[in-house]
Amino acid sequence: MLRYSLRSLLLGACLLFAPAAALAEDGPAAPSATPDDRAQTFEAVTGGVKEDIAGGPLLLAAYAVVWIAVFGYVVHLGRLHGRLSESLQRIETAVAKVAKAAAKTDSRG
Amino acid sequence: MTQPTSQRTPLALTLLIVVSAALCLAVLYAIFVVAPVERQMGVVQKIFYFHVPSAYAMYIGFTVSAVSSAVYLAKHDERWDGFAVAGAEVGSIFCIVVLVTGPLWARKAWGTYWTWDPRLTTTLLAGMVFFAYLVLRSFGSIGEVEKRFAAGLAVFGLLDLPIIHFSVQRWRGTHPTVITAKGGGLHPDMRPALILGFLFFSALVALLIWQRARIERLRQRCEALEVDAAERGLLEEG
Repeated sequence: MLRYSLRSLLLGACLLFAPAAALAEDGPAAPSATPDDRAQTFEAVTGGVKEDIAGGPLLLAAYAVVWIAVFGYVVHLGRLHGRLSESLQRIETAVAKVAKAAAKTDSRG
Repeated sequence: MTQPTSQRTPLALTLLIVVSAALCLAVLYAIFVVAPVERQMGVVQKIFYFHVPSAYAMYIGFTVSAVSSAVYLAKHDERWDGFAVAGAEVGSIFCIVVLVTGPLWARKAWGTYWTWDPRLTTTLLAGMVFFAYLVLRSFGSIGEVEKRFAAGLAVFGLLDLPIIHFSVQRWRGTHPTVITAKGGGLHPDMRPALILGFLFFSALVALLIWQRARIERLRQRCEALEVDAAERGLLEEG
């Protein structure tokens, strides 16, 4: 009697969980989940998004890196340009001043 | 005080700035509003829209540097040397972006930040060659011999670019091949974000190289004036 009950319980459990297991296999990622498919095709999600590793912080970090790199470089270029313009102006002023003084000396002599 | 003609921003450069800003807004809208979330990787796949165009911008920067270096070696014209420095510097910025955003995507897709995949390794190698070029060029006022050596290094770096590009086809690694001939392609709603990404990064890389080359010309002019004034004894007092 006990053996019969255990067999019935096992059969019942199989019948109950088999559809759930089959449905799990048929979930959104299953049909094209081979590594090759993942490397060759990007497809849009259908339904809700469930992730084991949170992608949000990784995405945020990646975009932060892009903007920090680009804006940092633009700021660096702006400073470099300002410094060189100043330096060029200083040299040109110094050269003009000395040249003017030399011309004055020549005209006196 | 009015700026000298050589220092004024050309109209085309101003237009390029406006176009880049407009494309930047358009690409952000396309990525975060229009493009759907990818089925297997989720939101982290959106790194792809900046990662791939960054790699493309890196190719442009390094190619400009190598080609300009080759012309400089042939003609000894300082203008080409300016473009070579600009290309190497801008290409290196985008190389850093590629080498940082790629591992952030890989953490989710592969479960690890880095793997010695052929494409990753050859990209790192290209970055190291052009970083070496920039280190060499950063030693203050370098002479003609050092400039020519650096130019040779940039030309050598160019050899690595086709290897990066074809590495995923020749040596099958783990790097995705979504938009290559072997790949299965993108969902149609994802295409506008990628196309706009390419356009934005093309405009951005052109803008940065152009501006950096102008600054390098300014530095060369300063250096030439200083040397000239020193030779004539005009700067001894100050």
